[in-house]
Order: sequence, then structure tokens, then C-alpha cells
Amino acid sequence: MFCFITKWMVSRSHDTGKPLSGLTARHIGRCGECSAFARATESLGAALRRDARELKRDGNNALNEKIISSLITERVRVPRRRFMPAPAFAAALLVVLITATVLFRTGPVSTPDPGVFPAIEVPGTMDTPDVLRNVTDIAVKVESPIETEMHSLERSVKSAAQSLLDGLDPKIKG
Amino acid sequence: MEKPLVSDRLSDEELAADARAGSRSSFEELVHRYSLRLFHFLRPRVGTDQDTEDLVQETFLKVYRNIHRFDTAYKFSTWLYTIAVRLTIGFYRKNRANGDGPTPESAGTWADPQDEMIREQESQNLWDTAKKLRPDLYQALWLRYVEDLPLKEIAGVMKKSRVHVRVLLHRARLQLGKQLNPAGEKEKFQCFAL
Repeated sequence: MFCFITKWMVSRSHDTGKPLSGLTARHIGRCGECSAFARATESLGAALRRDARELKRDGNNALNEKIISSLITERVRVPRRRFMPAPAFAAALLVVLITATVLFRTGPVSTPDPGVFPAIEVPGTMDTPDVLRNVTDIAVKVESPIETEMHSLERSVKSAAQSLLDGLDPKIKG
Repeated sequence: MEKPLVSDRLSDEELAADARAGSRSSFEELVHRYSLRLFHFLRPRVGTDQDTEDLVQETFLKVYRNIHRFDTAYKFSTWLYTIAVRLTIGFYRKNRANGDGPTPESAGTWADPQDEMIREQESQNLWDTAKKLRPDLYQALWLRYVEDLPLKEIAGVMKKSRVHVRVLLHRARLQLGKQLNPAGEKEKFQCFAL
């Protein structure tokens, strides 16, 4: 019985590369049959590898020709880039979340007092409509850096969402 | 047929990557490297030379059609043998449905006993003796010693657990040792008797 287990352990060690336990090694040292089995397992493995090399050397040209000629009608398929709805949806969701977070954190933006009116020197001879037009122009020009940034972010988000929508499969887009 | 003009130094995986990019000569080199090995691997399970050749051809066709799916991070031989084993299972099912062809139990035995005797006398190669083992034992030995696959990959190809593969290999060694006893390897493998 113990020899049966030892042979199994030898075989296992041969396949997994794990070293033999002390108990098994001691038994092999004492038992002639098990030590012969351990040696024979090694030599059987070596003999199988040696004979396999001989098998590999021989060629079967008729079989090769048959296989290769059957490939002539076949074409290698070039992998196509497939539309993957899940990653596209995740990316779109991420963009929306980032935008919402940015908008929420910045909050309502109060436009600072431009303080332009005192600086404007309105000549007394100027007509009223011209004065008004100048004021409007100045007001348009004055824009806080945060607002500029938000406008630019909004434009980028819109263009990203548009390109994602363009990439969507028409069936999914409905 | 002439061997394709592809360097012998390229690994199987490099050749498969070239074939994936459209190189037919690289694929032909893979055919040259593996057709006979695949034939010897499948022969005991399939039963006849003709059916085995057809299965080898079918395997390579399937590999060629799906070469774009091959991941070069894995071994080409593992992928190839896995496809071959799957096709062999399909071959059995088809034959069983038609009511002809070999069964897994009968496969692995030579049709004519006289031929078997002649082959045995002429046989110098251990693998000819190994062919008389049960097909699953033979295939486990083949993947282990010819293809040098680790246990994990053998288990993947044969659709069995690693422990099951270890048991198969152990039984294969014991039975092969017993079969070798009456022949020339007698002294060396006497200890295989339980």
C-alpha cells in the first residue's frame, strides 16, 4: 500500500516539479522497488522525449500538400473594429458626470462690477445712441475668466457628445 | 511539396502573428511543423488514417479561418490542440448519430491483429507502444512529453481538472511500463508492476 502511494508521489513530483517529502524520500531510499520506479520514471520520460524527436523529424508531404491546397480558397479575415455599446455608453456617462460636477461646484457666477462707467469719458457733444452702443460693446467685452472657461468647457462637452452620438449604431440610436 | 521560405528560428507564436497579418507562407510553416504531430496525436482516438488526415485538415482550416482570434500571449500549440480535441469530439458525435465509425472505447486498437503483430515487431519507437494505451492516457502523455505543455494547459486542452491529468499521466506511465516489460526495455521498467 505504501509503495502504491510512494509511486503516486514520485509521479506527481515528476509532473509538478515539487520536491518529494522527507517520508517519501526515506521510503525510496529503503525500498528497492520504489527507487527503481523513480529512476524508471525519469528514463521513461527521457525515452519518450527522444522518440518524439524522431517522430517530429519525419514529414508527411502528401498531408501537408492536401492541407495547404485546401487553404487556397480561404482568406484570412482582417479583424474589424466593432462598435461596443457598453464602453461608449460608459464614456458618455463619465463626460456628463464630470460636467455636472464642475457646474455644481462652481455654482452661480456673479459678474464682478466691471467698473467701466466711471472710466468712460463721454464727450458732451456725443449723441445718446452712440453712447449706448459704446456701453453695450464694453459690457460684451467684459467677461469673467470663469465664464470664459465654462463656455469653452460647454462647447467641448457638446462636441464630445455629438461625436459619440455620430459613432452610435443607427439601430441603437433609434 | 517544398518547405516554405520562412526562417526556422521564428517561434510558433511569431509565425502565427505573421499569418494573422496575412502571411500565407508563415501559416504553411506552421502546417509543416504541426501536421504530423497532430496526426500522431489524433490517430489512436480516431481509428483510421483517412479520418485522422481529414480531421487534421479540418483543424488547420479552422485555425486559418480564426487566426485573427489567436492571442500571441498564449502558446500556439495549446490553441491548436484544443481546437483539434473539440473537432474530434464533434467527429464522434456525428459518427454516433450516423451509427458508424469508431467509438471512443474501440478507438486505439489496430484493425488487423496481424498488422498489429508486424508493427510490434518492427516498432523501435516507444510511441508505437504508447498508441496501444487508452486514447486519453496516450494524449496526456503526448501533450506532456512531445509538446512539453504544463499540467494546467494539458488540463485546458483535454477539458479535465489538473488532478485528473496527473492521474492520467500516472496511469499511463504504469501501463506503458507494464507493456514494455516483455520487450527490450524489460530490465529498465520491471518496477512498473504494482
